[in-house]
Amino acid sequence: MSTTPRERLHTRWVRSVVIADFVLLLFPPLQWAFSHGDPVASTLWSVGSAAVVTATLPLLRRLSRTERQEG
Amino acid sequence: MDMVIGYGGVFVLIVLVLVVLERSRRSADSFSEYATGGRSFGSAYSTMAFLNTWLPGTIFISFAGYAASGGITGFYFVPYSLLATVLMFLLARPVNVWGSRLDLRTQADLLGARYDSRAVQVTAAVIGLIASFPWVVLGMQSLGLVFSSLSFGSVSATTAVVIGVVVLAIRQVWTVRFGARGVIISDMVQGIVAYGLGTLIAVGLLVWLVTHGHGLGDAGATAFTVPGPGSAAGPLYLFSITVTGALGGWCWPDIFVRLFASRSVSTIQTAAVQAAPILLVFGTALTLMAVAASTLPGVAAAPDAVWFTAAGVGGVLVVTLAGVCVVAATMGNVGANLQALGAQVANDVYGPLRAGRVNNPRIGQVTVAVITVLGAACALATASSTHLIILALISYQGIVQLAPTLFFGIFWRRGTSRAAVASMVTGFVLAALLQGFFPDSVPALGGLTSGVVAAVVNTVVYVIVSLAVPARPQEAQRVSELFDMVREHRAAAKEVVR
Repeated sequence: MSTTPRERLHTRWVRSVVIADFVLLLFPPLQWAFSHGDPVASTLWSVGSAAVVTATLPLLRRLSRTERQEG
Repeated sequence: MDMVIGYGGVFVLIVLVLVVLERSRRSADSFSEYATGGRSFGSAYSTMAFLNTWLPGTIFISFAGYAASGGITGFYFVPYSLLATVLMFLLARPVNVWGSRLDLRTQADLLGARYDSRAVQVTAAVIGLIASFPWVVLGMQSLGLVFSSLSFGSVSATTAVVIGVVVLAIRQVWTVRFGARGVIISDMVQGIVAYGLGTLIAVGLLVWLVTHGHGLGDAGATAFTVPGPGSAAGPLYLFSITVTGALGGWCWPDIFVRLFASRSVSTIQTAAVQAAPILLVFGTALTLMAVAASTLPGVAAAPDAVWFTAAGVGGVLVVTLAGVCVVAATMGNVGANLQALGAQVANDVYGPLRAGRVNNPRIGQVTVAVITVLGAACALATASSTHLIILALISYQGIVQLAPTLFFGIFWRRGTSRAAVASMVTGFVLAALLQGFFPDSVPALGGLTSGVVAAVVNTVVYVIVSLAVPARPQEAQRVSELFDMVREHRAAAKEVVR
């Protein structure tokens, strides 16, 4: 059961999305840049970045294309 | 009369949960079923079980209080929770495949199987128990504020703690009897109340606050400034507590064991997809409400009571509903913790000591009962102490030391048992030492916490030992077969989809 090029591409995409999620929510300079006293910028960044990561989960689900007959 | 309404609300919730539990009663035939709920739950139950275990009752107290006093920094529990759902997505396949095929029951059981090492299994179980027990005690005590608030001044703080401990201890009779199945079924009811009703209350209070002169802008610029370069906490402090929450979260035995209760890989992944928006909406509403409420009279003096102080604007009924939310969240978290720790002690300490697998569910019931009694006794003995919260926070620095062994073990086939034991012990000891010298964070390292510094060293130890002393060919072959099991499962699943 060897992996196809398409599956390898999907795996690469999954890894990229996961890394992007971690960078978005953890990279300190991003936090410092947006949360320095402005209520609007700070709130928008905090909630917006969290919303983006939330939106990536259905994307990961789609990329993984797992065994839907089990669900 | 107010107290009757307040305590009556909690009584109604508990009766509702117990009725649902009794109606769904099914006795466990084996220890495996007692510990995992028969690996039978679909995505809706898995979602709520994860949430009700992940978000303790103190989310309404300490976490909301942190947002009321520290501003937007208090939002950090939302990013770390979302990253945990991303990790949940990745953990789904290996944990479910190994769990069902090898009949794994606990986190330490999985590590023991992955490394084929009793030392790894017992070390992980003991670290999990040491780190989790203060949270059991704290969870039992955390209802003190609820019963104090719902008494509307009629009950002293210490008496309220005693009432909370007794109520939770009695509730655990059903946890002992029904095991993981009971915990997960009650999580559905408790989760809907805690995070559904909790979100509605938080949004309602936020709207009221913003329209009555307590807008977010009124909280001041410091409320929207995170620790950066030049700050007292250090520029990497926020990074530290967020990454500790995300990675450390999966190291808690009660969180991890929820993965074994799900029916399939797909179920766990769907649960992660469903849990994320609930976490986002609930966490955002609660945090913004707490930040806005920081300008209410009395909140600065007692930020941990912000949830009840803000609810006070709605009168007795809203305070009662707010208290019911905290009780629902606490019951889920404490019950899950007790059940997971009891199962782990039976399966990963008692079992290895007797040199055999535990199959009798009665042993699990006894260990859960013993830990419940010990937890309640400690909670009552330390009812007026404020030191336990410190111990509980320190325990987070300890539990995250399981992360390299856990994640490398699941995603890297070259990790060895020697590396696992060396890294866990090194990390745990180093974290304890650093915590003694730097209780908040290490200033020389930009505000990294003791747990993160120790976890970095722990990771280096794990990788060096794994590469320097590789597994014997026979062991490497065994581990390879474990990973092939996961790969073949993925390939087979994709064949089906096509």
